[in-house]
Amino acid sequence: MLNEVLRRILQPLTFNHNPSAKSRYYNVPCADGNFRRCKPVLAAWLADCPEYSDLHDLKRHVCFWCECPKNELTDYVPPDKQHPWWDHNLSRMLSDANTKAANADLSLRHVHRGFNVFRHIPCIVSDLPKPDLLHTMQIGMLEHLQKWIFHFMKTHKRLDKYNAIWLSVPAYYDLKPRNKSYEEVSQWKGKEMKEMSQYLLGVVTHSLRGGSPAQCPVFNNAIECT
Amino acid sequence: MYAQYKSHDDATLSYMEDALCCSDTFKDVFLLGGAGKKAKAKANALRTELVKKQKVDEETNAETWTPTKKRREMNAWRDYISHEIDVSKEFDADFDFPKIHMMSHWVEQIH
Repeated sequence: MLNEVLRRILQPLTFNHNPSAKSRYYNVPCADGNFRRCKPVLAAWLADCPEYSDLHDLKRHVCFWCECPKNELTDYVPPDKQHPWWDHNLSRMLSDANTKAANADLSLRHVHRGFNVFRHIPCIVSDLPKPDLLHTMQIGMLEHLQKWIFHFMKTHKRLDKYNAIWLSVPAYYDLKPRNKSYEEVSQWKGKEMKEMSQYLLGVVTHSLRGGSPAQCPVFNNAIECT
Repeated sequence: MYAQYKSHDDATLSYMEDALCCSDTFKDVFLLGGAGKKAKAKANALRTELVKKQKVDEETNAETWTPTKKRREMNAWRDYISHEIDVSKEFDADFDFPKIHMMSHWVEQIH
């Protein structure tokens, strides 16, 4: 259904609907009543991970920028050793072929079969996703990091100290005073996460002060990672 | 913090890259906390199994154990179960989720 809706919305951009779209220029009626030669290009589409997977017809838990294998998502990839970008043309050809071998290949590449409108309009599909601060960082990685830190503090019996320091962070500039500890907040919003990122490292560092010699290296690693 | 900058130059992007590299090096310290639903479910199944074994052991030796011996044995069982659960979680836990990988593309995308 999603693809059908997108197909209808983006139909004016498709090659089939407007042959001159191949040259990427066509006449568009403008607000002043004149026609102009325009070149509409779909350049960016902001969404969260699962939405990107649906939009690009990829299976879940797959990077939508590159063809990184699922079990290597955890590894840091330096800029010069990035995996190749998704070849959506190949996906389109395999999907159109609709043979057993093509379907098996698609499945192996974690791509769903079927029509995908992005593969039929003039755009670079792999280039549509853009860095998304809210979904990737604030309610993405920061939320994960908070959970890990919470578990870490609990394991090392530092949770009370952590909560006490957390609650004592004073109001300053755009920071509001806190009256709830981390676990007392049922759902964090992006804005709160953004605020929290300003003092999280300080709270973690102070909570992990004064460990035994055996604990010190572990605590230092936790601080470095944060 | 670097990701929240409104504009970047080569220096800030390299700081971000370094921070990401450093964070990646030390992230294993949070491995237990990074245990996903599958790892937790597996650990819970293991806990149920070990608790059953503990009960069987307790019932088998109910007549021979003195109260002190029983307390000691139960404490040993509790430590053993806790240790096994941690080992299981650590073994199955990973950071294989797309958002952690997406950070690798962050600098490249800003460029």
